[in-house]
Amino acid sequence: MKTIKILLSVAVFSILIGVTAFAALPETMWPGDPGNTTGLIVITKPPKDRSATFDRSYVISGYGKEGTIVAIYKLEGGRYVKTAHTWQIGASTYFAVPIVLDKGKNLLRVGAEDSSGTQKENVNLEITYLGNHLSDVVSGITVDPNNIPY
Amino acid sequence: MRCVTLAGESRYFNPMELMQLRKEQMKTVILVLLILNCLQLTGQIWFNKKLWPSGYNFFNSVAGNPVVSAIIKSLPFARGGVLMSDIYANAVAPQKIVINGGNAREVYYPGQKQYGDASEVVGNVMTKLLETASPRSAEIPADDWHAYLKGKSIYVDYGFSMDWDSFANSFGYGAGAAFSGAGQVSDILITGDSVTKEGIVCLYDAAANTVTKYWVDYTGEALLKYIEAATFGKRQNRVFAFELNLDGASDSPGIKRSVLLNSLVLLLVKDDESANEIAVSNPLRNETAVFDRIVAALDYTPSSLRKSVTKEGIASYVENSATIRISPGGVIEYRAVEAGKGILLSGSGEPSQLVSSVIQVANAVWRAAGEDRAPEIRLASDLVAARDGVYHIRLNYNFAGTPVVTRIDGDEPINNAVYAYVQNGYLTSFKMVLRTFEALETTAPLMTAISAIDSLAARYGGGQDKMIVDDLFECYSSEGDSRGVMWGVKIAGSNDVVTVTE
Repeated sequence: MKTIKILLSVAVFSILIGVTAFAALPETMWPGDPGNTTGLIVITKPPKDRSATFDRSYVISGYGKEGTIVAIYKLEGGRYVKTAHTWQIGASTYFAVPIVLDKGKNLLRVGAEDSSGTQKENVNLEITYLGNHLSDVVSGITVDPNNIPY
Repeated sequence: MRCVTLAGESRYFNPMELMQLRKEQMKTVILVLLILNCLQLTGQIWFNKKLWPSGYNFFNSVAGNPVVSAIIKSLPFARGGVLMSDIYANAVAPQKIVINGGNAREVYYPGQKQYGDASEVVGNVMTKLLETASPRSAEIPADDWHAYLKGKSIYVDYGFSMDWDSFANSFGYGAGAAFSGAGQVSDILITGDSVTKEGIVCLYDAAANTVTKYWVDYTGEALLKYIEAATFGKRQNRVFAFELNLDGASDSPGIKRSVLLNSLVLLLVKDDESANEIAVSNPLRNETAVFDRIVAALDYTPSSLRKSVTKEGIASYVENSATIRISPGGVIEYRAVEAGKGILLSGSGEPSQLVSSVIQVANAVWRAAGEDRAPEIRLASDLVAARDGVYHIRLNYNFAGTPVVTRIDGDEPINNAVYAYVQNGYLTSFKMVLRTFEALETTAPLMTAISAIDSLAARYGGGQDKMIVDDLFECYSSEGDSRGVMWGVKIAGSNDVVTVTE
């Protein structure tokens, strides 16, 4: 009986390890969490933390260590909530993910965790969709012209 | 006495007079035929470029004149010489034309209607440039080149480099172009200046890594309107590597990268693309008569060659100076023992004429194999004059605008649909793989460009040297079991294309 209990515990523990390994990144994050390392990923686009665009479709690109799990979070209700954009960096180290921006400011976080789950890095991004529709202008979106990186 | 009517008047002739009359008539007919033949040969020599001696030719210098070229175009014997054949024109046409709309981008491939429309716009602008004696020009830095590619412009990607004469020839200008540039041309960018209302042409020389900008007397506004219309309502699903800042080396010491991207690699970022699968077949019938016709198409007489057949069915036709091998698998190989013993190609030795001649040889083989129409074929090697007279001419099939990669491994691997080694105007070695293609109803998904680069890095990235991806494009393979569209990768420093599938 004792042996069976031990075997069952080991089996459940092994399954949980597997699940944990592929679902390392949490569903939500506090805005103040910077991670515990740098250099795990490099965001090449947008080139700065704050940028603006007239295109609703936007590609977030960069590179990182092979095997790193990466996810895009969106700030909602005071917490960063994980979106459907989750991927693992391949052998080339590159990534390029197209996302759809909401009107106005999009406060995003790119969260990365290495394959061992010990190193985590978070990069915050602010991408403003300037829009090209009259309705956006009417909604009263204001843009600081000094902050457009063109 | 016999009555003969001549010019409406009846006269009586005796038999002797009648015989004399018939003799005179025959002499007149022969004389007229000889004069017509003389005129035809003179026309061939004057207007057929293949018969011109090397050096200056008066007709060449006036061929660019609109009145003269209109007259020349109407003459049947001039079409093969002064004007390119359609098959050659298609072979050296750009592999893609990209319409950049600022925040939208459209990519057109050969065979699409939009490709034809865009080609016409490009042709009109290039005609203006080539007819301008000394256009204003300046070399521009890479940042300006990238800025034009990000803005409203038409980007023409040939996939190979051309020397200036071949480049001008591709637009119908021989030595008659008013303007002659230097260096090579790999890509073209056309845009309009909305301030000065001029047209702008940028010519990229991949060998020298320089971009030269020319101002052209062409309505810049009309160009910009065409670009806006072509990209209206479209998305930017394809992005240049430099736009994502993925074309540089890794800034992070902890991130080791084995694959680097050329700035101009166009990446597909959407992940739900799919394309029709194709069926590939070998049209070569394993029959002696067909093999003999192929030998004859290479200007050899089958009966005068020593023939042997291996147990695999490979037929070898051997003479003292050359060997022809035909495999039932659709592979034809020709090899001469030395340059002077090979097949003399027509033309004056210019690279464009040599390529045209090689295509003619390939088409002759296709017809000998019993196929009325050869698949589309595209140049895959540079069109640059070689000082030593040695050319490696490579051509690949194209199906519905999509390149088809031919790769057969073996003791002597084959990496192209047609390969020709030309030395001093003689075809010394020739390899050709016969394949036909048909679109299927079924479709297959295509992985994203980044996934393809991941597969490439996983397969080849173990070495110390970094691999530079010069081009990444969708293609089919003419060999193997895979019939869906895959990614073809051109690596810097290599003529071969690597294919990447799931």
